[in-house]
Amino acid sequence: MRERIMRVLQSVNPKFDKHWDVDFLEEGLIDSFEIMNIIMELEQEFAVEIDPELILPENFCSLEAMETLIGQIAGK
Amino acid sequence: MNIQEGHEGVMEAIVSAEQYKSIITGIKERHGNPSGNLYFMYRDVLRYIAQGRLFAEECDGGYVFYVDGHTYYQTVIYGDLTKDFWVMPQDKKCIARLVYDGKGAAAAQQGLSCILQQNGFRKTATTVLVQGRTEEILEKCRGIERYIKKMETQGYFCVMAQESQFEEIDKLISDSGVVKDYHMTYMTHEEKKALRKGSYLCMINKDNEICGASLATIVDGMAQGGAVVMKEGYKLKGFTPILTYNRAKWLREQNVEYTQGWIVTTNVDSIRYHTGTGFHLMDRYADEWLLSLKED
Repeated sequence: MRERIMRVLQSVNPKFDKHWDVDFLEEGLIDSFEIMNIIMELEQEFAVEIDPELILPENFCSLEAMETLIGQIAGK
Repeated sequence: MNIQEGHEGVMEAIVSAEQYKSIITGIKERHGNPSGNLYFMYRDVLRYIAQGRLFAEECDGGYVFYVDGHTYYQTVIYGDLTKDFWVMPQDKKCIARLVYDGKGAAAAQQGLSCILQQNGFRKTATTVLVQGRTEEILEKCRGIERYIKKMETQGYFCVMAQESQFEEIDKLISDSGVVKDYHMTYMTHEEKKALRKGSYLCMINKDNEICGASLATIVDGMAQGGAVVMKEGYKLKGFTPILTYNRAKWLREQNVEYTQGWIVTTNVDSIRYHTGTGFHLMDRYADEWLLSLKED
């Protein structure tokens, strides 16, 4: 799953390359425009629906956080 | 030496266009080719006068004009910048903007900086002009419709604000901390009511509560401002691009080709967001100088 998320992130913003272990928000890799694209791409890639209530900074600040989020939604 | 010493700081209300013209003529006669930090549009002058918001004080070098912006005075120094000016209102902070292009401040502007410093102003920020073409913004936001639909199914809608919501939106903008009070053009309640419907846009949730909002006004066929703010708890949900997109759609309907706004140069997130959504940095800057009240 991690590799697939990484591919999605890179497709949205190529700057993600080599920046996997940082806080994406603190590093300015994600803003409100990118979060929208990431959500749409993740939903398509994993055939899930991300509830707006789950669109929180803490769920998108790292690769691990996104992996946990997708895992939880897909496991429901 | 304090430049303000020995002066009373008496502002004279400008109550007619004739009085204003007479002052300007007098400055030109006495000081030859005057300079200033900002040049008024005549129709703005008439508006300020009609609203009782324009004041002036004569100084050795010319005049200092004050436009009352409710919580601040927009300050304009005009005359011979090699001579003395004193800026000393007692009741509100003063903001002076020095606009220049990327080649740097001209000699006259350096003179203005000195005058402002002598009067206790401090430079608080440099802002850069950004401009976006409506069609380019829409192109950059291509694909957003699916996201908008997703949000709508969850009860989040982007709507034109009702007049009853203007006050709440104004407060949301002023409380945001991103946009200072002096960044927003002061408008009377009547002027706000007269804005084209859609100037105030907001995101609302299923309980009809405002989550975020955007304000843009159209002046001479160009959209100005475009402040976009989100309430805590609604940041980073992708609502900002929804407002940007709907703003651009509205501007297309209004036949407005361009939007302009000023961003503080240190606000890298905002600059990045704007350049990512079709805006371009223009070769135009404005230094903001603030004179706080003594008790501030």
